[in-house]
Amino acid sequence: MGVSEAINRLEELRGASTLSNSDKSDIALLYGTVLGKTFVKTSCSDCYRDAIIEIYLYLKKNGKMKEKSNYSLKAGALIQDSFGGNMYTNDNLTDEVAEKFLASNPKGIAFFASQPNDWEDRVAKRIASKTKTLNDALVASLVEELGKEGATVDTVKEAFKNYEIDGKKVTAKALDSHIKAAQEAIANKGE
Amino acid sequence: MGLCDTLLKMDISPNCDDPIVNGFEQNGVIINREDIDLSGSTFDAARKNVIKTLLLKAGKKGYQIKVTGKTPYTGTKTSLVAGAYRNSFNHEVHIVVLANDPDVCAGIIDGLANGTYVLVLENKYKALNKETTPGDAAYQVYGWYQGLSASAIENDKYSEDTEGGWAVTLTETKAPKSGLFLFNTDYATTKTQVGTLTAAVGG
Repeated sequence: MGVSEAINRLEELRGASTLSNSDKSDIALLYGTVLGKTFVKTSCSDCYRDAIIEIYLYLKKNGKMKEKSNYSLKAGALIQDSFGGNMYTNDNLTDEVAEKFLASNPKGIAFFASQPNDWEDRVAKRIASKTKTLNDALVASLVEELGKEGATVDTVKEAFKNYEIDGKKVTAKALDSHIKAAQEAIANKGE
Repeated sequence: MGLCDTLLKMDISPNCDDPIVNGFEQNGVIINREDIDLSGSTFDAARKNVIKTLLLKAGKKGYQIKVTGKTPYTGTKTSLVAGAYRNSFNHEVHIVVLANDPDVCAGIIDGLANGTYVLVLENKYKALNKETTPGDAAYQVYGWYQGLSASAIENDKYSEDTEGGWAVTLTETKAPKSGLFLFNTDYATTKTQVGTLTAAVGG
């Protein structure tokens, strides 16, 4: 079932004064297809109507079915990309988010209810691809610059904002990740 | 062996900027204690009265509990229990089930009568104006150490309060701590985290 087909069916269901057994089974099916979750019927009398609203709002907001992640979190688990940063639950978890989290917190696998058998390889590949995108010469220059007396991240950013890699000016985001790598290198050297 | 610290660590004075208020919000979460992943759950590194992640086992979920009225969970209290060598605390939580049918008896009351549970309740007082860790008083956890089990269950057909529903008292005896809180980063994060406890298990 496509997105527009699902929205049409939900609009029909929203307008229905009573829900037949067939309507209810469609709602449970749509719930699983669109949100990737199992519909649980509670004692709540409006649970089917609540589900219609939940699915409808999700489709209107995102314009697509939920991407099925190969990872799922245990109940009670929530991961953040930084302190106070973006929050991820099973509702918005993606493979990329899960693997980035596991790259920096391998013990965090305890938070996952399910994961691919080769999750360690996947995480290793993600780390490798991140490392590959770093320019060694730039990292080395940044290490040198950050080591100078009085140097701060801001002064180094300013000094390198026009740095070019293969004739292309480095983006602010790329410069940030290189500075981070340089700081890690300095920290590792100090240990 | 660690040295048990029984000393006061701060002044005893009311917080005039963020005064305490009594009572609970209506919604809570009840969890079968055996569904908790005790090895994966984590405490705050510095504050041992704070659970940072209350994790359930794979495929398990908690259940929403809602007690309506102006004073939900009324009668809930914590009391000191004197011991020969160490004092402890009894936690008593009062819930009301405003329903009575075969499904309610089988799915709720019979289970409550014999199981052990952990309950997460939201205090009305959340300490949102604290300088550090604002919002850390919002969610309180009962039953972590010994589990809450039923000490009284009553169905009074002519009760003015329960209107023929069920009044249940859950008790945790001899818990070592006066209060245990669930808090991760800030109030919003913790609220989202509590929401995941009852979310449908991914399928």
